Amino acid sequence: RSALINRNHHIQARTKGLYQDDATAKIRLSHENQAVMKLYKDFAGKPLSPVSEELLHTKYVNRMKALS
Amino acid sequence: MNQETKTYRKGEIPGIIAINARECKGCDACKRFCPTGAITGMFGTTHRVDVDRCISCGQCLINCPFGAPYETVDPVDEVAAKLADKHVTVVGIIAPAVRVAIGEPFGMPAGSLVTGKMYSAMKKAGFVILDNNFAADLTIMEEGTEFIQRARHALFGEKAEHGGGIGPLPQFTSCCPAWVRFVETNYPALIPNLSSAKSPQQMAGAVAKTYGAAQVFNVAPESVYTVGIMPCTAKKFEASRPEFQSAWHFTKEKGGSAPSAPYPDIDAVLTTRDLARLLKKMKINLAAENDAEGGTLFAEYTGAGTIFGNTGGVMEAALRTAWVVLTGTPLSKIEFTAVRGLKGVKSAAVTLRDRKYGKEVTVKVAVVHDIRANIRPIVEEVMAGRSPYHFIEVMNCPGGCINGGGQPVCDTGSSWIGRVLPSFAWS
Repeated sequence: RSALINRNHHIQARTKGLYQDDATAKIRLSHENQAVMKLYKDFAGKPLSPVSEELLHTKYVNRMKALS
Repeated sequence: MNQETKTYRKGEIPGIIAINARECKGCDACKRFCPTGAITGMFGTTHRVDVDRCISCGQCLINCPFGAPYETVDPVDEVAAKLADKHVTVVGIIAPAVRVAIGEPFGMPAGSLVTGKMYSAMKKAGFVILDNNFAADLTIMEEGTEFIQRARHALFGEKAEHGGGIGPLPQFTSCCPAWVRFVETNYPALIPNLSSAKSPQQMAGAVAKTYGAAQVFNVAPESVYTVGIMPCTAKKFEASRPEFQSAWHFTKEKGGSAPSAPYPDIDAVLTTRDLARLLKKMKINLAAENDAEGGTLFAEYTGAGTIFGNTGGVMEAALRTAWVVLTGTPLSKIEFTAVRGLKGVKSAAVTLRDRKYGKEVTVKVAVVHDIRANIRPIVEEVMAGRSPYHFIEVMNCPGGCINGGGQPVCDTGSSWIGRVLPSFAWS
């Protein structure tokens, strides 16, 4: 029981650490990431473009058939 | 095909987690944390992992009092050899949750945010930094745009720009490889609801070996060796999925030089624990490092990218960007606190004006973590066509990636529960 309290302490401490990283960040919105914008400008065009679809999107497989 | 690997395709690693029979006492602790009932064996007898049910989340591993579950794949020596090879550009792709846990095995307090020390230690080891928070921001661009497209299609009948189909609502997030495999093995009817966006790790790998090789590292794609540094055991499985050779296919189609055998987008995955072992092996004390910058274009990230490691973080990051894109106005308050915290299922309704259609819409979102306890009612509702939500974030592990199966346990040990369990008969 005390170990689970220890685990929950770790969960809370790490959660706080990431929110702290966000709260102190100069930029807090993904679409304002200049490096990401440069990637689109130089290379991928824009979200859901053909290059984006090919490199940044994927497909999934039905694995349940194999179980039945 | 081997009977035991029927839910795995050729090339995929069949089962990342196994149980060491010599250590297992049959205490059933693992069964209380397994989200899929994948652990078999009677109380008091040696337990086994049914790899076809297992989604590789590693929750059994971090919660076993005896340290019996282990990872079947240990790439530490291979990565060390690549780091020693001067002809190889070894790219370290660091997940958000690693920076608040990697300090622990070096004696720092739980939750210490050590991004700068981590960069310094990894650069000393020979890594080039690609912060996966950068790829998390990229994921928001793709997955957020996909969500807006699905929502406008459902509400206003908007068509896809490049033809092709548009997936249904609700859209599920797809960053968590344990959740993706859970859908594929338990609820394949919901596959169209999964965002088609790759996880940040897989986006990072594909970008590093195309645009990265050509314009950032200035090397041939085949000399780039990509290493996911992840709080997660399931990421080792994810990297082995055969569709994730997209950089090789892309390079070949564009007429670039490509070896005849395909290379993977991600070559190896180290858990946070693996990274600690690697650094210690190289005699690098992360706690003693000074803060360093990442030093590449790919080390640039935002606050939205970093919160991906917390339950609710992907949704919050997506809402921030979706709000601005849909309304064309800035956010008066950046934080969406309704999706934060450790409640099993969190929900929020955001009313905004879609400037393109001049209409007010209410976007209903839900956030689920700890699949074992919380997912069934949510997916059953979607299956029955009764879900009130438009967008649902799912992370397998309780608390999100910060408590992933690849994270350090008890600072140095193997279990949260400890070896003294007086309530069990054999102790």
